[in-house]
Amino acid sequence: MQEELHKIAREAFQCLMQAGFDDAQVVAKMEDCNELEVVNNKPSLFRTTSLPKLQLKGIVDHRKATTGLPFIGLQRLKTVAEDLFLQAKSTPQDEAVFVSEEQEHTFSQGPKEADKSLMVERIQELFAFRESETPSTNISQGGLQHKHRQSVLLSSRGSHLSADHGWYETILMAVGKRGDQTSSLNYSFGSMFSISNPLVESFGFRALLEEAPKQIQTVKVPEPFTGSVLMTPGAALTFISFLDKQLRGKALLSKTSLFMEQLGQAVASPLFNVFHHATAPGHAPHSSDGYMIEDFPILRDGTLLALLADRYISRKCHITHRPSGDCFSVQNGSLRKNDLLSNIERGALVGRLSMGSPGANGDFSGVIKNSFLVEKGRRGDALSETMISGNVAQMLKDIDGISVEQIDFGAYSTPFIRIPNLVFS
Amino acid sequence: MELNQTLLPTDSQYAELRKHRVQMKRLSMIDGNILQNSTDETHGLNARVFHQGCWGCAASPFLTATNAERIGRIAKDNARSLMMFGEPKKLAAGSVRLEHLSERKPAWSPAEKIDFLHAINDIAIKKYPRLRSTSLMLIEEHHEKELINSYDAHTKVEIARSMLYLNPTMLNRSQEPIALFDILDGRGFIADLDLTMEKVEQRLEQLYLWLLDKTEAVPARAGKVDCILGSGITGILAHEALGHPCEADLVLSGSVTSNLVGERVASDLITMVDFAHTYNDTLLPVPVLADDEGVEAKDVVMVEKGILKGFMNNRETAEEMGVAPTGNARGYMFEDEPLIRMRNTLILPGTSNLEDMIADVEDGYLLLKTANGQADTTTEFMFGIQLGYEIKNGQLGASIKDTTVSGIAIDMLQSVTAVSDSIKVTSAGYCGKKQRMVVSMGGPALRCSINIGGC
Repeated sequence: MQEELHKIAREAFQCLMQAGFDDAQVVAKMEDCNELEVVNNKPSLFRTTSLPKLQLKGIVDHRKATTGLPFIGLQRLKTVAEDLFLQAKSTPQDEAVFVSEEQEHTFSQGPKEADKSLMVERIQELFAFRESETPSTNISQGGLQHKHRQSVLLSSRGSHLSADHGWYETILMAVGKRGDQTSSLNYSFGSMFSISNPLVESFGFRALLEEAPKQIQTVKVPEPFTGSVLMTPGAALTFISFLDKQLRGKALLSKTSLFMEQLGQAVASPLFNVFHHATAPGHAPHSSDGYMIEDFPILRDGTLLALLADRYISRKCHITHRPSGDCFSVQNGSLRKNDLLSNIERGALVGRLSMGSPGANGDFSGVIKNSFLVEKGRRGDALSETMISGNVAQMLKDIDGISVEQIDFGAYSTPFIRIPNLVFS
Repeated sequence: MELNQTLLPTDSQYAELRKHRVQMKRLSMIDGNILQNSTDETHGLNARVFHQGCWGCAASPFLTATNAERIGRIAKDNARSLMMFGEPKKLAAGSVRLEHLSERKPAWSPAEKIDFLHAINDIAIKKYPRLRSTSLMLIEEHHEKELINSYDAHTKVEIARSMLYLNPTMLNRSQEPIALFDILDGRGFIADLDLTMEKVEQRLEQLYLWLLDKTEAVPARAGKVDCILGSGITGILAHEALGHPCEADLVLSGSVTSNLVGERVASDLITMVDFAHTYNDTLLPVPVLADDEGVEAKDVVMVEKGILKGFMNNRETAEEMGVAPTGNARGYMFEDEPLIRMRNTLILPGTSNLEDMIADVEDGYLLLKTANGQADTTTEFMFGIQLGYEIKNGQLGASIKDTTVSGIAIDMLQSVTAVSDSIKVTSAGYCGKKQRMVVSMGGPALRCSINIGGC
């Protein structure tokens, strides 16, 4: 397939240059997926898909046009290239438009073929565990997928990137069920190179299945109060999502990022360290705009060290170009999670945060789900209809404890994180 | 490539083949800079087979008879690989043959779209110098589907929708960014929306005034409050709070609605329907005449005068529940299997006047804009509030900061004491449930009691 992708990419590239573009960039990719889906405690669907994609970018006189399409024959490709040229000519000039320059890399990783019978075996095993160990938990939805992605990028400025990688992904959504009563839905997910271990031992799945029945009976907080949260690794992904939006793209271009002017400054607690990783299961070390990416720290001891400006943003906003992907980790700390819990006078252990996107300034309020009341350091009843309010940027500064324990979700890794001074209602 | 019955895999309980093409056009601009100007197209075939209680599915982009037969074989093999888990099961019957394709106005060219956005950006710069940034986006999305199945269905349908997205940002007194957005959206392409600069200017002016109010926003008072939910919010309430818990796959997986048919779940002022395609003789934004299982799409009355009446089904859940399928099974892209999805989910209007509803609130909030929401099997829901105002003694007061409202849908809907007499329908959103899906939602303004986050 790699040879075929190279051929398709070269043909598309030649069509663009022949159409009259000054610069061109082509990405040809193919993704094969085998998926075993589960619904209501049993497998319900096995799906096999092949998705090819051709992405064309052409620049003429600092005017850019792009299109994405399936693999089509050469004759149609010539017509598409000509139409794209006309589209570019009618687009305003922008000195910041670009194609990838002088990037040369070949990447290969992970299992390229799905082990379908092992996938079926792992799902059988998961259901056997549920039935024998956690019969009061319903697996409402879930799945196990194998993906194999191959891609080739060519540009008129000397870039040639190719990737050929395979991996597995899984997701589990479960509720506790007792008669007519049900708990709140909880879920976890992850990506990995191997399914040699039982699924229940990964990504917090065991805890998710075991805890669900304990969340059927719930209480509400009797009155609003200010207290601390201990966010589980799943809930702590909220911080990664917030930082990701603030440090790149639209937030930088529109100058609405809270952190744009704060490189080198303390933006979070000195306990908080965040890293960007070039690769993970499902992620090649190539940015979406065609640049090699590396491991680097984003926050060290709470100090902001990097903005994630892609090539366009860097040229437009005169910020250092920092190619990046979507793989982040929050470094674990030195305290055990039980110790973090025992120091909470009043608050909650938060399994999941259900909320809209925080406001542009970081203000938010959200419903805490799959959560437990904590009073005088002890975990109590499961909570329902409970909200917390605050400001995410302030929360980063207020972090006062990070656990040794963490969950590696594949592309992300997060520990338990404790934050004080949140309003509960 | 025309579909015909000979392309279907044989020796299976049920088989279907769907040809599906999606074209998406996106033009986004931030402060006059074009961030994205792309046309993306995907097309392909999806074969699905049901055998002994299990589904096998395969999809491929190549539109040839040979490929249709190949993926049919793979789908059959995939179903058989799960046979150890399945048990003999029937699927609900019923099939339809129809074609529904719409006429469109001549499309705007890429240059016309760019000029249009530049004109809006110029207005924003000239008339509203306090704006920090203006983001604009034009989106057109077009789905064309053809389906055949072993129950003799043959359908050709399409859905097109488009939107203009306005998102200005300002700095508040503390120099923090505050943002709002508004969407002009509807069925068809941009040319079918009848977008005029006058309409756009009115919306931009209103957004600007709201943003000015938000610069002085105060935190909401946390707790259970008396609220008027604006008609721009009621749609998402319908979708999240009770729509998802009435999808039969979630019902069978443990939603609390499973034992509540015939019971009161809302005030008798509330009637909620998932319309297939038409309301009040008007074609709705997401008209589904037949779903992706070849079932004729019917309206589903979920709640009638407060009583839970029924659920949205596909063939499999309909058979399990002993009811007729409702035509709610849809897949988003060609590679996606059909899942039970909402279509046009509306709470029906009442008889109250909105101004009177506001005047009746002694101490509460008028909530006008939301960004997104989520639902739960317990019917606990949440949605974010981007724009709201205090109501004190029947008068509107200060704007409130971004917050979230939540509640148990059944409790909250039973607290509704007034429903306004007009309805707003929006088709700008996507529903997320393993795959995204084009949906529309809407409703009137409601007076109710709801939890609000704040200080």
